[in-house]
Amino acid sequence: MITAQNLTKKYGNKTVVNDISFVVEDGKITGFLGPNGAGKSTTMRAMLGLDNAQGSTLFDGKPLSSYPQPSQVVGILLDAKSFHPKRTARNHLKVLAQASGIPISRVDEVLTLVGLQDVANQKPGKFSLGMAQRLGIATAILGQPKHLILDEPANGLDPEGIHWLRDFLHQYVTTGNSVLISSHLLSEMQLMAHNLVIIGKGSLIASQSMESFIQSANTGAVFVRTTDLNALSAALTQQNITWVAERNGLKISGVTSDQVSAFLFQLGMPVLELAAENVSLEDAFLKMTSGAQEYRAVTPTDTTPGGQA
Amino acid sequence: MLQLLKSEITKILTLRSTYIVVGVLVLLAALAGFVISGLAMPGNNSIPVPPSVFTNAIHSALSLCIGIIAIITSFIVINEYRHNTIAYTVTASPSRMNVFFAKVIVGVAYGLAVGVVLSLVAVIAAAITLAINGHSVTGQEIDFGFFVHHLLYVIFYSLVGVSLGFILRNTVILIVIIFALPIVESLSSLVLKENSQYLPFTSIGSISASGEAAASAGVIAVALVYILGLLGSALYLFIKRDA
Repeated sequence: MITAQNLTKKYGNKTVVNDISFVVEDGKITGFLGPNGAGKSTTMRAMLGLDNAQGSTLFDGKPLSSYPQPSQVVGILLDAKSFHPKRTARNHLKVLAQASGIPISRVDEVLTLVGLQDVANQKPGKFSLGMAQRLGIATAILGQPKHLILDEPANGLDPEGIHWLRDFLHQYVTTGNSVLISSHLLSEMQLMAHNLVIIGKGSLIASQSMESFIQSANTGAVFVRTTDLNALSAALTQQNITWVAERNGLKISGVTSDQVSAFLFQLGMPVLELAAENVSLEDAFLKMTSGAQEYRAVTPTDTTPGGQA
Repeated sequence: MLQLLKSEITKILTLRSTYIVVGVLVLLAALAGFVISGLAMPGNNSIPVPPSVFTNAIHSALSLCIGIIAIITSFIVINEYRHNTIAYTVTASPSRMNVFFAKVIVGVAYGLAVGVVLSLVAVIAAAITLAINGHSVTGQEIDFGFFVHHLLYVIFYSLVGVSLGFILRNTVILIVIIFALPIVESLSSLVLKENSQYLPFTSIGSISASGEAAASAGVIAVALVYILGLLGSALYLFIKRDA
């Protein structure tokens, strides 16, 4: 288990990480989300002691510096391009293995595991971003650490690579390991992570399970389509149930699909379409972090001449 | 610590640029050996060459290459920041101090190894020149004091390179300092007169001087203080700054 406690990092007067505490559970993949500039990378660096910050991070109850071989406790991938471009992939891993007391035979094992065995003797300066990510992942798992801290490992990976990463990480945590992973690929994160830690503008917004996080953003709306929308809307209004017209049906708030189905049955109306609103991680994330973005693009309606503001 | 030392050595040996730069330095040292021995040769072969040809060749080769030696030792540190591998290196050890001293030790060893190779190349080049021109090489002398002073000279410059690497983390600024500051110090001697011998690069450079220009114990002590100050600053910043 990784326990981050009261992490705070300031650059001059600016607080980029503000008193963040969370837990990365064993046997779980914890997604680390936040808008650009939220402080995710800085938090990860602070956890590893790379940035001098206030607060502490314990790995299975002990600070990383108390372990004789830290890279056998936590594997890291903070930047896919963290390698000397003129040192071969194999030698890159070899120097790291030597520094950490890891058998050199492990180098070829991890290269094979990430699918880079054929380019092991090539210089990674010309690797694509996807290949660089694979080398970064190989670096992270070199010491067979219990914990992994991965910053945007899926960036640049092709669909097969993302699929492999998802399967690999799921397999990795089944033996009680833990993974903290940041990503902007929210749909992928929804498939991958069990828990979520969400920060915005350097502060913790949420730290909970994926299921409860998505559920918390669910408005409980149901979309329904039937033959006589006017009669239905009138009946709903009479019952003080909120609704809005949407496409060729009604979006009804504060009810379950079972209740709507029963209501239509009472009215004797056929159900042409009935669907509970499905909130995705993206919906929940955007809802939760609105106002917490450090950098926000201007929406097209703001800039289109003649458009409505 | 041993693991870190092995890793640092492997980092140096697994880059082609290491061999290219050392190759260039070897050529420069050979050139120094050829030129010095050529200048020292009398026109008449019956007159023996002075016994200081080898020492002058070593001194010239090292003086010519010492700045580059400092720069290549600084790469042990600067390359880590340039290519963002410092995070891996720092997390490989529970203590940043271990990482610091591993880099310092390997940096000095690397500088010394290069210095010794360049000295040998300079001597061999000088010997070849003398032999081709029919002069004997048996009368050449290299005294122990000269040897120790030049080793110290290389060690000090290697330490300057590694320390500045930790402090600056930037090759361009480091190159400017290594090459421009000695020139500035030379110019300042016009104002400071004899006191200029206590300036950083002047005091370190005077360690390799011989004869009347040889550094006194006081100047060597001043150079040592500069080096220790630089090392201390580098260690403090390496531990305190973000990696």
